[in-house]
Amino acid sequence: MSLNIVVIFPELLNMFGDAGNIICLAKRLKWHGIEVNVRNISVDSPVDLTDADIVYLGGGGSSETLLALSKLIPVKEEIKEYIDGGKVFLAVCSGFELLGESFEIKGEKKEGLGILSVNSVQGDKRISSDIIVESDFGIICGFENHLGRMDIGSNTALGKVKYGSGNNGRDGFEGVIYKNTFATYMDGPLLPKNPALCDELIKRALLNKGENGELKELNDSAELKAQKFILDKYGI
Amino acid sequence: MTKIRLILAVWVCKALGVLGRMAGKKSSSAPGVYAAKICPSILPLLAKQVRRGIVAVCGTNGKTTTNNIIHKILTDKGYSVVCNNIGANMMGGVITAFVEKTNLFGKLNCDYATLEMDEAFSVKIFEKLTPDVTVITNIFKDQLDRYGEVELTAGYLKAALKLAPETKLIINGDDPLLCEIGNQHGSFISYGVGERVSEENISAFCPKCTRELDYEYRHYSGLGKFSCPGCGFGHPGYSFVATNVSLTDGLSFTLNGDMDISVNYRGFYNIFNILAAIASVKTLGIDISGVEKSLDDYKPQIGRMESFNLKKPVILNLAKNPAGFNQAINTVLSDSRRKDIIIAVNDCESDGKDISWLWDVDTDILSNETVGSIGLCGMRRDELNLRLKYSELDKEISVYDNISDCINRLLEKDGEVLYILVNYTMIFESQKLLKEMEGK
Repeated sequence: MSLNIVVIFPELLNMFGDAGNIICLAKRLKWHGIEVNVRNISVDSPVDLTDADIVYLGGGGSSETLLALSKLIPVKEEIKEYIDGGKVFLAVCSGFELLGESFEIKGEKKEGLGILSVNSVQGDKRISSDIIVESDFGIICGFENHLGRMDIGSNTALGKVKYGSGNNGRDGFEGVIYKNTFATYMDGPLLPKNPALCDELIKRALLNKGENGELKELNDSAELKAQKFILDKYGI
Repeated sequence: MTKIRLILAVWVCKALGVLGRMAGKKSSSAPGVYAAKICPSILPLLAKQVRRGIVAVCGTNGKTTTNNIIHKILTDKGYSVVCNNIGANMMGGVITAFVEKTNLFGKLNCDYATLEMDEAFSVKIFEKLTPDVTVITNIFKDQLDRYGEVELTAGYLKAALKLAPETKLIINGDDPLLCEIGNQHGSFISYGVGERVSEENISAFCPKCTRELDYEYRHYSGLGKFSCPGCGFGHPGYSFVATNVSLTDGLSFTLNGDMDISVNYRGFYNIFNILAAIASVKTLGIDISGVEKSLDDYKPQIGRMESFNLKKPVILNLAKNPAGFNQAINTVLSDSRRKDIIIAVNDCESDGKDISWLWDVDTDILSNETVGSIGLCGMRRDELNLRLKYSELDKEISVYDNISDCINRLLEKDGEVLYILVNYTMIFESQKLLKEMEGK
């Protein structure tokens, strides 16, 4: 059994330890006894997702995000097809905003890839804090560092905010789950401290390939200890 | 009236410094903050008394070392110099440094001032004084919870330079972002390393048109001889260039093809710091002949590859962002002795609360055969432990609640040398402890 992880523009969208999410996916797949191939799509090469089982779109600064947008607009139908087809996709930070209908950057409204029916605007202050979220995959914790305020409309959120601001600091929700796409402002990075979420992505990718999606139990004590540090800090 | 306020502010600043140090504090910044409350114009009033020139040192990494090397060269040449040498680089630290060289009548006695400045505070400081020379070492990803993103840091520096159109700007010409800032300033002086030394494959993007840059050679974290295949933006060439670089056993290189420089401290990045300092001194109009001795005599400041003699050599180094950490690990591994390593990371406000950058550090290379055991400490020890778990190192890794235990235990291991890599708020505690242990 093998899975292909495809990373979109890692040299561009790598703001907040995004590499950690890929390291985590790759190592856990290996520990689960599944062969893994990581393919990076660099900014000047074609965005081809045909062989992908899990796609990652990370976060970048303003200029990097605008450059990524300009390169992704021409292939948005292919990305939409991938996501609507129920394949596994993880988008973090400005990657989350890019998937939406619209977002703001440097005070200017931009049309996103329009794959998720979510919209964000820029707030006046950067939200920068630890974040703890309650989800169907257990407690998730990480760091949030974003200027955007996301409105996810009637979409399903990734989880409920227990500490921090989440999508917009108002409605108490963080992120979005649409089919097998997970999009979130949580970095820190997201997956290493949240092994259950990482394994959920792996399971869904295996189910897509007709496997039963059952995974070995790994020793996650180091992961949970790092997570517990954040939980204890806020008494959760 | 202003004169009386100035004198009062100087007295208060000096008194608070004495009291603070009696209470065991560094007192390198807070006294200056109070002084400015008493006399808001204290900084311009003191800065205008500097007889010969003021240097501002900015940039993500290397500020403290560059500033201290400039200080060393100038004092060796017999000048009296104001310098915020322990890295207190916000408004309060700059004022406190000036007051140290001011007498009780508000009269400053100094030829030069060399001041490192936190990027975010550079604008506020430039409102109060105009440096004759401004040197910027690099702009890397750092403390993103505070600055948001690298572009914002560049924005602060551009705003500061706008306030000082006449300042002679010196930049690391191997940093594309700084070259863009240099072009905006008008003219600039550039320094850098003019040959391939070590290769680190990190991409960088054109600050003008955002195309991925090509490199003839690259040093680390986007530094190198770059050119943009899109808009033609390219490397500016060097006014101060290092070649014949050797990193084994200290550092050595040739400056501008005719001055051989050799120092006993390590770290490729220190070549950039030395170049920045030499360029600054020369630009002040000072003869640089004979600086080789000052450079070699220079003792790295607190936690900059600082050595301690315990039962075996212990070397303490600050590493607070991915560029610095990757450089620090490479420097540690360039030492061929068998070693144990302590890594300690806190996440206090002044460290940056966001430590996601740990996952941008290439810890896989710690599998190096000269590395014995690894001790982890600091508030984020569990995150460090997790990071190393994902590097699958075949090493003995242990986690300690406090740095004192950690050092004592790691000293018992059989490495010939112990390296301690820590981020900002861990540095003072570690240094104090090591000094005490050295004294025993």
